[in-house]
Amino acid sequence: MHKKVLVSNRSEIACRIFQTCREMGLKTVGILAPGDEEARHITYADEVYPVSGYLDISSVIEAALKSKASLIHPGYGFLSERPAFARAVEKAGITFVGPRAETMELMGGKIAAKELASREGVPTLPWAKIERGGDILSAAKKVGFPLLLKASAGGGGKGMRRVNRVEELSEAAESASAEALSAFGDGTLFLERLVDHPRHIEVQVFGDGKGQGVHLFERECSLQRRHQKVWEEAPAPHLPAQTREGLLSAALRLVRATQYRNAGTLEFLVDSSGEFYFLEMNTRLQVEHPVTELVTGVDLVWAQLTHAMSPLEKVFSDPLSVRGHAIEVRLYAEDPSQGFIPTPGKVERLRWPTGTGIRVESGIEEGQTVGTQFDSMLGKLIVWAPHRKAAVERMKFALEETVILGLGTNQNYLLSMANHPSVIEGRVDTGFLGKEFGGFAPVPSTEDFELLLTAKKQGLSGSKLQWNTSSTTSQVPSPWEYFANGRRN
Amino acid sequence: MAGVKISGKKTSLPSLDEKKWKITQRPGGWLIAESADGIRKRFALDEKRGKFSASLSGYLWNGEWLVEDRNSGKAGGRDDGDLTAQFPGKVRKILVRDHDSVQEGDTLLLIEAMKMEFAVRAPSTGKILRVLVQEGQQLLPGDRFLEMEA
Repeated sequence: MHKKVLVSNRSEIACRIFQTCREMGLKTVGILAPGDEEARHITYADEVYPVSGYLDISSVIEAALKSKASLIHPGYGFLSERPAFARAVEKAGITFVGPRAETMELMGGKIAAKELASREGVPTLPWAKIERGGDILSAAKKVGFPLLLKASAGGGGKGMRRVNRVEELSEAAESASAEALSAFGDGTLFLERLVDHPRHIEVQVFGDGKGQGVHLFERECSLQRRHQKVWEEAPAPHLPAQTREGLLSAALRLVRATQYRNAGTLEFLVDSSGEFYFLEMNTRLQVEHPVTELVTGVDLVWAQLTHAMSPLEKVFSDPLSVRGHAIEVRLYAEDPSQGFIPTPGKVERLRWPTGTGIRVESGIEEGQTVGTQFDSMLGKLIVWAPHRKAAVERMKFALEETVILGLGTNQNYLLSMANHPSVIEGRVDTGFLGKEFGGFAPVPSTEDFELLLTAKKQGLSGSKLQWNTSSTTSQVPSPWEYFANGRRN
Repeated sequence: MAGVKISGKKTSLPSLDEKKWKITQRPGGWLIAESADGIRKRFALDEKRGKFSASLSGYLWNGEWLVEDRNSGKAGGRDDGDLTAQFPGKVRKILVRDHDSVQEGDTLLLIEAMKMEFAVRAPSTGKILRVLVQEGQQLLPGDRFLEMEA
């Protein structure tokens, strides 16, 4: 009988997985890599084991064996899509919460995945491999311009470069290959035709490992900066019914063809005429999974653990449907008005929004120092509302009520997005953020400056503003003085 | 106080009527400002060693107060923050040489950090005096990339 789960991840996603584990009566084991001592998941885990690094397979397995965990949930990133890890987990007699290693290998190589999609009658973009020492120029001419150089071994925007003309090709290839080599240990690139003004639409799926599966509808993730998602939503707004049906049925065909097991996501590009093209499959839980959870009412981590613990049981017995609209934004310790440079620092003050239809996945605690050693995502804000317009208003409210002081964040950028007419209307493509927010350099209003200066002059700016101590820097008498003197200030 | 930098950019301050806003503290670290003509605004502020973080009208801002540089008579502050490493990384490519003239915004070097690439741009128009780093060099926070004069 399964009693304990080791989560081979950190921060926000580890904490999110812990919640479902606890609700299912499973003990939680967290792992701690050097340098991550202040991380939030270390506070909340039932047990903590040290590892030499989050990517160290043998160290993670050793921790699992020591803890006697019978399940490992990999979260996203790190080892979640490493076939060698999935294999090592199974070999150690532990259940891996996710797809089979073979599926990761098949769908993890973007080229093999495209070939499989074509065999299943799922449209893909014109593309070409670049063989080692091969002729990049003739491959590029075959694919056509504009094109995208992409890393064969990974995603997240790393190793990606847009090339508009043949003259730009060789420098872009050098830069992309170097970045891919650094990020994934493999500098191999492939070329893919670029669709202008595409929408990035993905489908959440869940397979039983025997060829059957369900979809949990789609998400739109077109608001991206340099191919990194910033704002995601479910369902995709203004999507033609025919396109939606095509995407959902294509996703199920791929689940069947791969005999997919557990949760996964199929990513597509949709062009302005509603035609869609398969991009890749992510054989893991995704960062933006909460928007699907909020519109379908399904706890995806619950589904993952349930299937992993009882693979013969049917996970979804009730029909699934979409209700309302959900939006997620990612908060990062970076400054968009300074070229998105990382802005590490100490979280002096932290206040997350609360209220109806608001969900927060936090990766930080007040008093924690956020460095540059690990991912700089501070947390996710997710909102749900009965329809999209209300969800956008709710996201504005949630962002306005997010207070993170002591380090730079992209909150200002996200709130500016929530106030942009095209975002409010829900008609954006993947080029939108780069174009509309390219020179983002906001300045506070005169009134806001006045508040800042007045507070500064009165000595009210300080890291400890305490209500019930008689602080000599405060202009406001303490409550004890107030009541004692019986006078109004 | 000579001025302020918001998100690394020097910004001019409005003239201030110190009596316009009455500020009180609320539990939870909030400040409420009230003006004579009935405007009420909620905000939050944190300051440490001349750097501040604020929530103003719902937006988060980060900046620093600039103090008079008595020696030069110009507003100082950490201008050289523009040309020093803010985080660990590696110099991937240097695009300028000693004595080159550059325009504000020109890319000077490319840094590889956290598996991404960052461009360091000229904070103002001027001339490169001396490039202080080499391609492939590992950088620590505080390392200076180059010297230039405006």
